Amino acid sequence: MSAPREVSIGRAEDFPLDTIRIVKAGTREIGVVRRADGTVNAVRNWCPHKGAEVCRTKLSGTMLPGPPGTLTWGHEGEIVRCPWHGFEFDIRTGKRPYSNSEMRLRVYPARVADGEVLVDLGPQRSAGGTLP
Amino acid sequence: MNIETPASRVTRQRDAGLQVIDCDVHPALPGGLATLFPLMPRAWVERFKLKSGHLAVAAPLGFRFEHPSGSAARQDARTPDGKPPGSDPEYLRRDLLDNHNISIALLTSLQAGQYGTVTSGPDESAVIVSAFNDYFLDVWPLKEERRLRLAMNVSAQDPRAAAAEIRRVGKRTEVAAVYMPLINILIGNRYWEPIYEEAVAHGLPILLHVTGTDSVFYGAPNQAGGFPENYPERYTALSQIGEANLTSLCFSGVWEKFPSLKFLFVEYGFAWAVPLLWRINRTWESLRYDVPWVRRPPAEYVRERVRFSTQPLDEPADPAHLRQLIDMLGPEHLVFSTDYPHWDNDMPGESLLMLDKDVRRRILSENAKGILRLS
Repeated sequence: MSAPREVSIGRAEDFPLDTIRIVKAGTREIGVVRRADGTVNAVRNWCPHKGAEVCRTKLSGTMLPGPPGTLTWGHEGEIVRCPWHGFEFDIRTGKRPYSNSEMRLRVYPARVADGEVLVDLGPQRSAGGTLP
Repeated sequence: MNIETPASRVTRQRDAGLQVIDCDVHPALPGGLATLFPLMPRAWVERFKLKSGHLAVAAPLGFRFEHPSGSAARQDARTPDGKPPGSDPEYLRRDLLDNHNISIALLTSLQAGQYGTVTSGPDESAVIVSAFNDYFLDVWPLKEERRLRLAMNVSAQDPRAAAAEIRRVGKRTEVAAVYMPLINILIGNRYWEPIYEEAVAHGLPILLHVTGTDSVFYGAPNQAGGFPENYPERYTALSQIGEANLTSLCFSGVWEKFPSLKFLFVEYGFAWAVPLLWRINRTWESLRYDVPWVRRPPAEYVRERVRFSTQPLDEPADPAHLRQLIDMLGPEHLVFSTDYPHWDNDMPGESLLMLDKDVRRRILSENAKGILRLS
């Protein structure tokens, strides 16, 4: 294992705000969302449920828990809903909203520095390919 | 008079000291609907007589679904003087309670269930189920014989009348549950809410049990896929009605409106609940956003608020497989039932012997205390 690896995945202006863009980073595909406040969300484009390309979808919100027969929309722009089985994930934390499930997306720390979007891919294995 | 049988000897020897709670016993009228006429308003008696109600014993099933032996009730459970099985409380007391260590038996009248679903009109059914309640609460010795409790009857065709009936007799300490006979409206539907409100107000669980009208009459619950051809087909697949209704409960939001409401599924089996709850939970994980009123994995609500009766116990070639299924479901979901005096009854001394002693004891005697109102 080596130190964390922060790599550039492109110029900030090439990442439209509040939109998932899938980029290649090393051997992985990553879904990246740049925010107006300068923050960046980055998750691995791999659904932990059945291995779908979870980021090939639009950023969404979801329904908040509430009384029967009522609907309340919330978390706009925070939810990735997998196109295969509908599993929802919070793109900021990787966690499943309103579920006790421990299933979660792999989240990478990301930031903008000097106009570049930088993603920390974490420790690299010395051999044997990438982490799942 | 002692009427000990080989089965009762086994129960008494093997389970000496174990007090069994039996969640499914079927009392019967000794003389058909006419038995109830003294308990009905005069004008209704005349109406039923005009319709030949004094000749009615049970809903006709036709050749297609009549029991192949002629009756679903055990002929060996007839009283010595030839009365119908389940119709004499004194005989039932000796034949079932004394002989099988039954400390509490929950009486559920399927005759009342039939009249309460679709074989009579909405107003007729309300009158008839009230008379059934008065008959079992006041003519049977429930006040003195505290081992007998009643799942009180309501009409499924008029939920407001059903709620009024719960207000009328639901406070009686002889009542331990509300037997809600089903029609072709799933139990998650808001149609049933007046009944649920009163059941909650009285601390009574809702008991579900096939009525005999299922898949026979228009308006009754029907099994999936098509019309069964004979008794074995219909009997085997009656569990589908349990599956459909459990699924309805899980996604409907009933428990958001009635958090303390409990349901007892009787005689629908339980083995099917294992994979069904897997699928229900898995679907909720995928599609929670379509039913956001379901706040937790539905199987968690079921573990807290639903119980299944054990009879008819499935009999795999290797009994250990049934033990595994009970482990997978969680034995806390199960309450024991005999279904006396019906042909497919399970007597406690011969039931669930593959289980660890403590697990078996909880199913036979403890778990029911968590769902029935045993005041």
